[in-house]
Formats: sequence, structure tokens, C-alpha cells
Amino acid sequence: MKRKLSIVIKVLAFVILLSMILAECNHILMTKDEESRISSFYEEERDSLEAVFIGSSHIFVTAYPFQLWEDYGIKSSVLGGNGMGVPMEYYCVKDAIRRQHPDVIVVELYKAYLDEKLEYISYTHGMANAMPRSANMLRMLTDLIPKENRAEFAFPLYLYHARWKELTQEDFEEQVCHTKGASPQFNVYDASAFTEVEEKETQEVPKTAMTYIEKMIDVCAENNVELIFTVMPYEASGKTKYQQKIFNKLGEELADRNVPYYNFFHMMDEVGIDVRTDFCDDAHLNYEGGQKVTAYFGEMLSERGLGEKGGKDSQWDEDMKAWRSHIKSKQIKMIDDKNEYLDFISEGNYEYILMVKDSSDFTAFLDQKGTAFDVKLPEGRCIYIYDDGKKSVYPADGGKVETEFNERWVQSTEGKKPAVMLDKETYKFSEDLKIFVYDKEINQMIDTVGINYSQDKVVR
Amino acid sequence: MLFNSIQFLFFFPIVILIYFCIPQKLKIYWLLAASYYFYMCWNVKYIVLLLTSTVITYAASLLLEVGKKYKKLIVAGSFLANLSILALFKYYNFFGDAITALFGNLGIAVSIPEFDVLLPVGISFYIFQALGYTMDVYRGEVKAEKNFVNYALFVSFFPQLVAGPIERTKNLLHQIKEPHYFDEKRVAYGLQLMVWGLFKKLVIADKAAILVDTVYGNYQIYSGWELVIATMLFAVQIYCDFSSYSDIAIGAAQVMGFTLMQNFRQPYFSQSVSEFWRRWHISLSTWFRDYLYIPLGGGRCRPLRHYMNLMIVFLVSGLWHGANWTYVIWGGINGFYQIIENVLKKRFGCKLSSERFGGKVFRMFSTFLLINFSWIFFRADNLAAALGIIRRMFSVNNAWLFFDGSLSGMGLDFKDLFVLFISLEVLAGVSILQYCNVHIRECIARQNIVFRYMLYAASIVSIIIFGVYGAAYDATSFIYFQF
Repeated sequence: MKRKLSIVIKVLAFVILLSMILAECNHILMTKDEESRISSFYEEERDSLEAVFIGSSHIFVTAYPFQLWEDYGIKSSVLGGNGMGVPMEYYCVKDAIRRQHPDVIVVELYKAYLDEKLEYISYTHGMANAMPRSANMLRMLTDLIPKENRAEFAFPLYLYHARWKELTQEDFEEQVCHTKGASPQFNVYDASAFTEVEEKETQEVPKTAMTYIEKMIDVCAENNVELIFTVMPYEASGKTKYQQKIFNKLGEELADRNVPYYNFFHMMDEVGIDVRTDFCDDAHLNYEGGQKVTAYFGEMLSERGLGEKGGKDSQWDEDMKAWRSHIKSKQIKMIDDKNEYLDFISEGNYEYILMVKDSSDFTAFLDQKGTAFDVKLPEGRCIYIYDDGKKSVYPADGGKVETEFNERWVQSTEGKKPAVMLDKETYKFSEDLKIFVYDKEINQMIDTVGINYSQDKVVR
Repeated sequence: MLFNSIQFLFFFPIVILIYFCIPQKLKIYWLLAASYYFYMCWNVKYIVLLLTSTVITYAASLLLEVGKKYKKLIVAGSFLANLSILALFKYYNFFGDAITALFGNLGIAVSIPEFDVLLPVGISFYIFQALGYTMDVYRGEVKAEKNFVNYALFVSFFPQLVAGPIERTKNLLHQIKEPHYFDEKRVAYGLQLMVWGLFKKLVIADKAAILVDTVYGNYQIYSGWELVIATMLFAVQIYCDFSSYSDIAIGAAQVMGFTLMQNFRQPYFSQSVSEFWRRWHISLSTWFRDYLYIPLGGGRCRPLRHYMNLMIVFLVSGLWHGANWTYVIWGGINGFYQIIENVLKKRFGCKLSSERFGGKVFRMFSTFLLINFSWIFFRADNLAAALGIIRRMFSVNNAWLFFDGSLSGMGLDFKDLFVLFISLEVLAGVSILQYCNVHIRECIARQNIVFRYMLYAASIVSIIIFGVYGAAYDATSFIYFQF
């Protein structure tokens, strides 16, 4: 008996050891494109959210929980996945109810034009990799995934083991989401070809989509959660106009079932969306457009009594700083004009390294701009570091810098053409001024640009 | 189901767990049910053929002990019935095409209907095993097994059912009737051998297969050293693929308390082609030796007859491997090698090299090259492709490909090549230790538990990460399953 027990213990010990190693390998090898964004929902304290937004990229690029918090005191999160289909949304609704029991769930129905449970299996992988294991997830996999693909989901290493050749730093470091599941986009696309299909033009909603929409309605009703459906606008081409007809038909179907539905294709003027400036591509709104839609959601949810509990939560306020930094870290990359760029970084709470090609030219440039610079720079090339309130200056000609800047090693190389090494990258004094911008709030080097005083645009 | 499949990952532990929990007298029934289930996972209808062969050879063996007057007739009947099944499912279309081509060359149009059915997996193996039993009973070497369940399990024992080793009655049948108990050390040894088999299959064989398939599938755009590398890697692939199956089979059987025969003994360390065939696919070689070569007269006859016997055995062996002329030619080449070796050794007393280390290495290398040459015919899709590959192999000396990065243009990138290289080093190390009669599993057993567990974990993790399997790849079956 003792011997049998000893064997059982040894086997168990080995199985535990192996499982731990494989779990870590699994985590490293899985793709993580969407992991931090989706996981952020599951990391929220249970029963702490008033609203949850669920859907495809159409919703997670458009709905901004921190804007709702700041302006309306509403706590919310986005549970969105690339290409998320309506059947998958049903299971996300169940997860949202189970974990948060929010007052309102907003579900975006872009994929309602599909009459299949699964469009691309890669979309499901993106969600499944980030979702914690649960009975709901198991039911989702059994319902949506073909039998021949289930092994990939039950044992992700079955699919991802071959990724060992593609591993990068991001696979080993914990990625943090500062946006409560949102992913605002900042480039601008002129969607002037946008056309609105009249509401009276309709096309039958595919049976599969309608089945899962009804399931969502039922499960929310059973759990006393208000369900709101929506579709986000996008530039429809000749091939995709039929989708708008289906969205129009959805309006009728959901009205019959007494479920609120916001079809933003018909609300462009009401919300104030400008097709020339508010889209990032032919399918998604950008940050400008998203702010307008989020403001609309804010008003709509406030009217339903959300945000009345009082907008005081020190953790949310603290996390908002990271959200603002995240937004600015994206916005800074869109700035081309050198003066606008300099104003942007001077208004922000940034730390930076300046590589100055000629200090007298630099001083003259700042004088012309009317900007004071309270540090005396040595002649010729120099390096200026602003770190945690401390200002340090190092001559590059005949001098040397060897210091740490926010856990990055800064070192100058001497010689006829001095340069600066930041970690493993080498930067030359190729422009009049080179700026490395660091945001302490999100612990990231957010941008590196070059400026030539005689040119208007920054050099990237 | 494949050994390297998720189904087997569940199947095997369940079978073992129940096997060790049930009473001794129920074990054979459980194993028989598991073996039939294992076989039916390929195709439910296949079980009819397995049962047919089992029943025929079972009945034949009983008749052999009763009807002593008609022994030869009974054996002939059993062989005819079983070989007919084999011929129908494996060689019908091959012979049909050959006859059509032959008559076509004579200007006579002949149309033979095709037999469109999938080759039942493992048919060559279990039929040979069953026929071996018939011959053993005929020769009086063993008594006929009266218990049908015992005999059925002998034929269908799942670890060796679909790709060998082709077991002998004297070795396996009595083990089926003996009691088997759980033994921690034996189970650990068996599992270690299975893991080693999976490593050879998933990390080495299937990775090498990617390069081999890329080059051989489009040989017209490759030449010189590219074809040499692909051929040498095929030698590695086929050895690792086939020996891995044997290792997994032997390991699985060992877990249950059965000892199967060794099927490979570091064949690429052979110093002659004859020795190679004593180290490669030992169960098949010895089967042909005992049931074809010796009945034909073996080597105890005039030289010309001896050489003819050798050639017949190797041509049949080639044909056993596949219904294609390339296999026959491959077998013929190996037969020819052995004839030449015989002639050089016996008739002229020729000694090509010394007995010193350098001489041994030279003989090993030469043997490896000769075997490699024959593998070209084994692997090529047809005779024209084989000849084309040989011609292109010697058309150019493109040694620069070892230096200019071209190696990564043959299906495997440098990361995969690196992993393959390291794996081959591991294989070489293990093979050398085995060649020197070092019992590796016993050496591991003597280490402390932390070392052992880290070694086991590292082995399993390396198979999982570096193995070729899963959704990213087509499931690469064992090469010998087509037989």
C-alpha cells in the first residue's frame, strides 16, 4: 500500500511539474494580438461595471469606457474581438452577465449579415486565447467549432507550438491594457464615398444571426439586464450595400421584440460624424468619430440611470491617467508640423532626450519660437536629458555620456562623427535636433523624431 | 489511430489503467477489445479482413494437428487465402497495370478493371505474422493454439498490429497466456522508450520529411548536393520514422508486461550490406529468411542457386514494401549488393579495408552510401524520377550552397535546420551508446529523481514544441503504414 502511494505521489508530482512547464510554454507561444485587450475585461473586479460593450472591431475602436467615466461617471468595459460573429457575441453576453451582471449590455451587430456560426477560425482563436476557461467557454467551443478543430482549442499548444520561430520580446513580457478594452485609431481616411441605404430598403436577416440575437434577448431578459443593439457606420461599397439592408431589417425585427437598436448609418448627422475626418479606414471610425459615438452612448446610458452612483473611484481616476497617456502616445505620432510637435510635448508631462547638432542654432531656433530654455548648453553637439525633473547636459564633441534613462542605457560614441546609443540602437546627429520622448505614465518611449529648423515637418 | 495523435494520448492511458485494475483472466479480453477498437479507428470495415485472416490461420493450425495427411494442402490453402487477400488489396492494380503495359507493348489492347479500394492499414504485417504462425505449426515448432481469444490477440495485439515488429509465435504467444503485473521500473522503461520513439518521429523524421518532400517533389529544380542532402535526410527520415514506430510499439508492450522483439539495431553503423539487413527491420528480414529464403535452399546450395535465392528474397521484399516498380528495383539493388559482397568475400577473399578504427569507419561510410543510393529508388515517385535524380545529382558540384544560405531554400528555414541538426546529434549520441551496448534507461534510472524528472520534462516539452504535428501541418503518417 505504501509503495502504491509512493508511486501515485511521484506520478502526481511529475504531472504537476510538467503541467506548470507546459502552461508557461502555452502562454509564451500563444498569439497575443488581442490578449491584453480582451483579458482586461476579465480582470475587472466582479460586479463592478454598469455597462459592457460587446462586438467586433467596430465597437472596440469606437466605444471608450474612460470617456464615459470622465464625462458621465459610468463604469464600463469593452469585450471585443476581431471579426466577432453574432454567435460568439451570445457567449460573450453570457460571460458579461456571469462576471459583471451589468445594468446594460450594448452589442454591436456588424456580422449579422453572416449566415454561419464561424467565419474564420482565426477570429475565434483570438477570443479563445484570452478568455479564461469556463463552462461557458466549453459550450462555446462545442457549439461553434468544427470537430476537427477542437483539439487546437482544448490544447492550444497543438496549434501554437510551431510559433517558437516567431517569438519576440512581446511574447515574454506581460502586456498591459490601459484602455478598458478599447482600441482607438488615429489615422484619417476620407470616407466621402459613404452612402446611406434608405431605411425602407431591407433584406432578410440570416437565420443563424437571428437565432443568436434571440438567444441574447432571452438570456438578458432572464437576468434582468437591459440589452441594446447597435451597428456602427462604415463606407459601404457596391458589394456591401446589402449589409445595410440587413441592418435596416434588424431595426424592424428588434422593434417587434421591443429591444432598443441604434443604427448609426442613419444617425450620422445626429451624432455629427464627418465622413472626411472621422474614419480611420473604410470600415472603422477613428478617435474623433469614436468620441462622438461614445458621447452619444454616454447620453443614452445616463438617461437610463447609469452613472448615478457617483463618479468617485480613485482607482479609475488613477487608471484614467494611463488612458490619457495612451491617447497622447498615439496622437503624437500623427503630428507632422514641428511647431505643433514641440507644443505638444511641452504641454505634456514627458521626459526626453535631445540630441542637439549645434547648440547656438538650437538657442536661436527657440528664441525665434519665443520659447525659453533655462539650461546653458555647451558649444557644438550636445545631449540634453530631462529625467524625473533633473536636467543633465553632456557635450558630444570631446565629451561623453554614459548614463541610465528610465532603465535604458544612454551612451555616446566618440570620434569624427559622434553618435548616441540608446540601448542597442545607434542614432547619429543627422538632423538639427533629435527628440526621444518618454512617457512615465505608461513606461514607454512613445516617439522619436528629427527636426530640421528650416523645414516645417518633423522627420521620422 | 496514429501513435502521434490526440486519440492515442487518451486511448493508451485508459487501456493501461483498466488493464492493471482488472483480474488476470479478463486482461486478454480487454486487450483484444482494445486492439480491435484500435484497428477499427482506421476504418470499421477493416476488421473483417483482420478477422478473416485470423479465422483462416486459426482453423488451418488446428487442422494441421488433426489432418496430418493433408498438411501441405492445408498450409498451401492458408497461404493462398491470406496472400490472395493481400494481393487483391495491395497488388491487384499494380499487376493489372503491368499486364496491360506488357500486352500493350505486344500490340494487344487489354482492359483490366481497376479495384478501387483503400489499402487496409497494416495488412502486410498481420498477414505475415499469421502466416508465420501457420508455418511454425506446420513445422512442429509450436503447438496449435486452441484458445481462439489467445490466438486472436496474438494476431491483433495493438502495439505491433499496423507496422510491426512482425512477431514470432515462439516469442509472443506464450506471453499472452502468462500473467502480467504492474512493475514500476518496467512501466517507466516502457514509457521512456515511447517518448524516445515520439521524439524520433515528430522532431526528426517529420522535420526531415519537409525537406525531402520539397526536393523530391520537385527534383527538376534541384541538383548536385541539394539532392545528396535530401537523399541522406531521407535515410534519416525512414530510419527514424520506422524505428520510432517500433520503439513506441515495444515501449507500449513493455508497459503492459510484454517483450516484443527488437526491430532495429543501429543499422547505419553496419559495415556491410549483409550486416545492414541483419540490423534493419529485423522482424521482416528474419521472416523472409525463415519462411522464404531457407525453404528455397538459402545459402546451402550451389553459388548460382544461392544468388538466385538472395535475389528472389530481395525482389519479393521490395514488392512487399510497395506496389510499384521502384520498390522492386530497390529490393533488387540490395540483393545485387549482397551478391557482390558474397562474391568478393568468398570467391576472391577480398578484404577492402583493415579492422582498425579507420577501416571500420570506412566500411560504415561506404555501406551507408550504398544503402543511400538504393533509397533513391525507394523514395522517388517512379523510375523516371529516380533516374532523373541520379543524373542531376552528378550533374554539378554546387558545394557553395553550404555557405551562401541556399540550404534554407529547400523547405526548412535555418531555425528548423538548427533544431534538426541538434536532434541528429542527440540521435547520434544515443545510437553510439546503444551500439556500445550501454543500457541508457538503466543509466537514467540510477540518477536522482530531480535529474530524471527534469530529463523527462525536457524530452516531452521538446517534442511538444519542436515536433511536427497539429493544425499547422498535415498529420504526417508513418511511412510504413502503406504496407
